[in-house]
Amino acid sequence: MSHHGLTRREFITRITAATALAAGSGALGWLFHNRRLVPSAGRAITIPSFAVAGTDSLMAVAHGQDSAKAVAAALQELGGIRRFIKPGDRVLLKPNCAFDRPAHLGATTSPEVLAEVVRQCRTAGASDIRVIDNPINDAAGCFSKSGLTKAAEAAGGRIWLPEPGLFSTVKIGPLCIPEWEALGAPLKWATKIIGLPTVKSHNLSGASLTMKNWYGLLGGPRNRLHQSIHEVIVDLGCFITPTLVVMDGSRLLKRNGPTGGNPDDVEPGNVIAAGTDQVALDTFGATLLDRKPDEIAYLAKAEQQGLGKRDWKSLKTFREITL
Amino acid sequence: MKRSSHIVLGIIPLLIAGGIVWKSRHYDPAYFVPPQATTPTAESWVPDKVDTWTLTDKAWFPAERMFEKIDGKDQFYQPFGVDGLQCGSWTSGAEAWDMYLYVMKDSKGAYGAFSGEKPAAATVEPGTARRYSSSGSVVIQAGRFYLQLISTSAEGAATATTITNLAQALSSTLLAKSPPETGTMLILPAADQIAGSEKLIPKDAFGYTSLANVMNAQYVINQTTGTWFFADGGTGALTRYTQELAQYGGEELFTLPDGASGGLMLDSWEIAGIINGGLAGVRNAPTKERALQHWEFFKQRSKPTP
Repeated sequence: MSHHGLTRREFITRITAATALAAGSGALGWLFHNRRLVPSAGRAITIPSFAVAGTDSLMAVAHGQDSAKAVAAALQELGGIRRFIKPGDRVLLKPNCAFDRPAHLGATTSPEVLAEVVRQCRTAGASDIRVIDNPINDAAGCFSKSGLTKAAEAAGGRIWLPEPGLFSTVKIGPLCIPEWEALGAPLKWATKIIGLPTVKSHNLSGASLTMKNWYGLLGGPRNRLHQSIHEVIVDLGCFITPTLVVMDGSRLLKRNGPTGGNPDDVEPGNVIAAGTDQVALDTFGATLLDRKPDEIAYLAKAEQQGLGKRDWKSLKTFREITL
Repeated sequence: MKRSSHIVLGIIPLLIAGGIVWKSRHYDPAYFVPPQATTPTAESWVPDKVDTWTLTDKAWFPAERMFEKIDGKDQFYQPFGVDGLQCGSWTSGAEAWDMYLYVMKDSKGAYGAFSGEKPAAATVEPGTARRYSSSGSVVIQAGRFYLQLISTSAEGAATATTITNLAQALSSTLLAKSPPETGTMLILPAADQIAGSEKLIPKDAFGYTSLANVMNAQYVINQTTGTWFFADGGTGALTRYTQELAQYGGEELFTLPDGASGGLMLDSWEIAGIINGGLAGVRNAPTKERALQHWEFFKQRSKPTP
């Protein structure tokens, strides 16, 4: 067949070529469209669990005005620090040092609590104890103004500032952020990790406690993550399986968190909660902020993901003491 | 067909493919990484020196970059309308107070942020600017500015008086740089208002999409507490409110001779109508009679001064 000078063979050839090009275009578009939330610098690494075998489902609450004694007592109720930290361990401590606020404003972990955990780790024979966070504001300034630098160094630990070279792409969680830029090198260095969250209200999530505290290990344009805050917090809980958490309820930032700024928003809590179940700890922490667990949406989601139990009194071990 | 035509026809799909790739990279908001912070260039809203106080470490964060200073809290200020945040540190001898100056788009927004963060127990001191103090902090709303001065010392309570002069000077400066307050926020009556209960809700107040920029406060009339409010809009907003009240399950709906309408929503009674040309209302009354009583008092108290 010939039509306007085009033979059947030419027609078929051109149709085939056009179809191939269109298919190729579609394939390229599919290949590149929305494949990643952020451009990856390399292959994402998986952060291993830092939990010690046989220490799951533990929680102890110690009430007392002396924060250091309350930390020691809570750990003792869990079987002592040596159950978690072994001689030679490289321990990474993650307080909440997000803002350049002095400690009394309740936006950051108390220096007294950090210092006691450092001392406990030294007692257990840790070879190196480093304190890390990637604050919102200038890191050195935040550690200094919060009193955490002085407390850590006096107790025998040291501050590890979040230099750019420490970040790498790591796997985070199943809901929102499969992978993200985080402090991969320190997490690879550590043999144990202890979370030291403070107990404070949060403008978006209602509460900033154990799981939200891991946000400080992330880098990149993380402010974007606030758009799906509850799912992101669950992802953060999946991201880190800590050796231990020591929740600082010595001061409670009950209103206007996470930054605070008015001393009248801070109330004495006089309580330390230590344990290994992040959901239980966060549920307990929410009650310290006068919030019902149902009001904090991420708690139920975290429980559904198998991160722990909201009913902290039903854990394998739950102890509560008053000093 | 010439060979060159074949080449051109072949290039077109490739360009389309390239376009798809380029578009996919640029369409996804996740690819937008904000540019690095720059040296603050906005006007410094306050002087660098007041008496013995000196302002250091100044930094300006425009609204879209406030997360660099107050990540997680910036979204509290956004609904009120904010231009940016100026930070700094005031020092005088051994004293150091951090400054957070929120530059809002108007005085209504500044008042919204001020009232939204104010502890219920804090008493607003009388004066041209609204202000309250606590142990180690002074908080001021002056025109379109919302200012927080925060002691860096836990012993701030003992030294709070030393910052009085600085706070007064900054307040005067900011008022001078702000246009006069306008709008409905100033006309909620003072009589019988529960101290510290006045708040601004920027949108979707009380669950109604028709109620925006709602200035509301608690009032006690004949030993019964109710909420009085002014909101943006006039009769159009009132019509939308009435529709929403019915749509959301309001019961025993009624219309008053003055054009106001109301009903029972869940366990409390509410009424909305027009006062001085603006949308106004009362709510949280335990009975219809009490709601009507609040409404009549509200109208009487809101009459323009002759």
